[in-house]
Amino acid sequence: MARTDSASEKALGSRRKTFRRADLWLLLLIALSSVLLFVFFLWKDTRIRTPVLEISQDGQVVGVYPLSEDRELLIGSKESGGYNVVRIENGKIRITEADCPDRSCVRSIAIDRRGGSIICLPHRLVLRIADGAGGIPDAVAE
Amino acid sequence: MNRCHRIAFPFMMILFLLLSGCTSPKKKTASDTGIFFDTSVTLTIYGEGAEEALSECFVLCRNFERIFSAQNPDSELYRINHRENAGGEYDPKTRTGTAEYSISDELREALALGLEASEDTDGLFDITMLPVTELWDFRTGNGSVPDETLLLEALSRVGFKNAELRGSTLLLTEGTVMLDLGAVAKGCISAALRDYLQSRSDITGAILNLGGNIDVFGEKPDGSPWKVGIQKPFSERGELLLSVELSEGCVISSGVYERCFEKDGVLYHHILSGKDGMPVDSGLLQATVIGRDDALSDTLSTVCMLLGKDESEQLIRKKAYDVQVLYTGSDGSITLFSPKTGEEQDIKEGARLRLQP
Amino acid sequence: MDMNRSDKPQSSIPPENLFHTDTPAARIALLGLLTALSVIMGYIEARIPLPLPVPGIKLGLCNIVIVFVLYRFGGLRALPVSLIRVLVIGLLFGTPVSMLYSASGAVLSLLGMVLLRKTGRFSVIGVSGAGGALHALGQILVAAAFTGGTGIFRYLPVLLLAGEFCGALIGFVDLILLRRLKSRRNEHVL
Repeated sequence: MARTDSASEKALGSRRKTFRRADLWLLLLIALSSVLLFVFFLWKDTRIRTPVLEISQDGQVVGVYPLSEDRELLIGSKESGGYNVVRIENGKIRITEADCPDRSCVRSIAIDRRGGSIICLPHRLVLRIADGAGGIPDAVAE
Repeated sequence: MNRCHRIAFPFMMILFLLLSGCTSPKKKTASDTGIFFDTSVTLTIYGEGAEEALSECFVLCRNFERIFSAQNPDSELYRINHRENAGGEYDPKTRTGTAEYSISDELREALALGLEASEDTDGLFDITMLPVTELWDFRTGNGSVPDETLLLEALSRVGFKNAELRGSTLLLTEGTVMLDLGAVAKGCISAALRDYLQSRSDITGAILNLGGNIDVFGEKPDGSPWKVGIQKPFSERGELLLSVELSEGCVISSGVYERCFEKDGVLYHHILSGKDGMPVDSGLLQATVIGRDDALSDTLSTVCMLLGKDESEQLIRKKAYDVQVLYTGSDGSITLFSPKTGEEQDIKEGARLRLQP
Repeated sequence: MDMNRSDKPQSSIPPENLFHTDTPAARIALLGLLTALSVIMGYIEARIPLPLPVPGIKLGLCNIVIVFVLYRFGGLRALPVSLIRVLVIGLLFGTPVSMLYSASGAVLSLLGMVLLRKTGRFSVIGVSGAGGALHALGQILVAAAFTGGTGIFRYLPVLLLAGEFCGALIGFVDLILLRRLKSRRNEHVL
């Protein structure tokens, strides 16, 4: 093989592409979009004037709770499988217990009035800090 | 520190903590719900005197029930409608002749407002509609359209001109005239409650909910403005069309979806026209009045539904009422009418309006 | 044949010729082997626990094979390899739902890589890096369809960066592989 390949190696030499400039741009572009997205979410959180916890499952809002009152909520059921325990304590929210396969929701950092979200993908559960101003009225005129 | 201190100190601390826990501070907020004149009344009051004020408010509600309830046989209105102890030339045997009554201030105020509205709408809104209203059943949801002859007969008994107010005296010139103050009463009551609460210096704020009529004043504990949501017509209770932020005033809504039934594909609702006794079709699903005068706003919400957008706007302009009206049209449009600026604004669903009534 | 070779029975194939794909049969067999390899890499990866609190973060080891196939045999042949890999891994180690996430990521990733490679302007590292990022994006999009709403997109920045980083590393590995395992046919491709 050595014989045939030295010829092709020479041919290859001139077209060897290892790490090109274009690569760098591409990678930087992706990194930049990540950063921009991150900044966008940071900004979005600053727009929250009255933070509330919004819990949705399967895309439907199942509960909106103020951060001012300590609370423990069980989402789902322990018997039939598929549950998460959400705790609001001192204005911080975390998932304290869950029976999902990866438990990444339990390991997530707590979120508070500044914004953010905790997600349990297997249970399609999304906990996020939403702007209560649009959510909980003091009363409804009907 | 010596051993004595090491024991005494913690002991004192614990004692101190226990003692401080024993005194229960007066709660700064009180809230409760009661049922009066067939309506659910929920009051949330803030301030040192909240608890006391709350009970007082419910006492006031009971008093009003004894004035305004058309069903309660003990109420002032009921007795008037059934011509009990009528003064004037009323003859109970033949049930003819003008009946004269000396009425309470509260009733007079409500009647004055109701009669004015009846006048302004040329009878479309009529406070003597009780005979017709009683023919319709919107409560069970299985209602049916009243028989035409019965309807006509009931209509013949309707006529606000047969009720005259002279000072504190009410004159009913026809024996068959029956008054229904449903469209005005709640507003009068919430106004009275608010006046009472505002007169107390130990009350810092309150939000009153009388069967969906909202009244707010003062401050919320966190200082933010009151947020009142407006029910989305025909949606689940609590689903909002949009929300309104205000610091003081009332938000009163009148809508076809509140009490209605469907028969043979037609929707019949509880806002009946004084002319034909049938549900009015004015192109509106809902009219929400935001203002400072509760009684007026309550009446107006029904008036706007009866007159429709354009005519009610005309009326409001003509009488220079200090209100704003949110119209929800059956075509899906949402418009905010502010007579002060004289303009109409198209509002998008889900908006948060900041208003100064 | 070469005169330098000793007389060996025809069944013994010199290692350098392992990747000969002269005949369709040879090609299919090879691709099959590679697909299986990809599955095994997926298994290895599943055994490595990642302590990060982010759901769905992965090393993407199986993509070493996918990128290799892409560069050596073309995108059209890489597609079935990728899809079958997703299927088998999903059946063996995952749930139907996880299969959906993987499939979406794999398809989007491969599509992007094919296109990027076609432009000829990027090397394996760039292409693979982008592929990793696209894989993450594809998964997030499916997750968003399930959880409904914008909450899930908050994980995009982290996942994009991680995917890109891992993808670039994998690209580097593939770079070495492709150079070491040259085939006579596709010499011009690294």
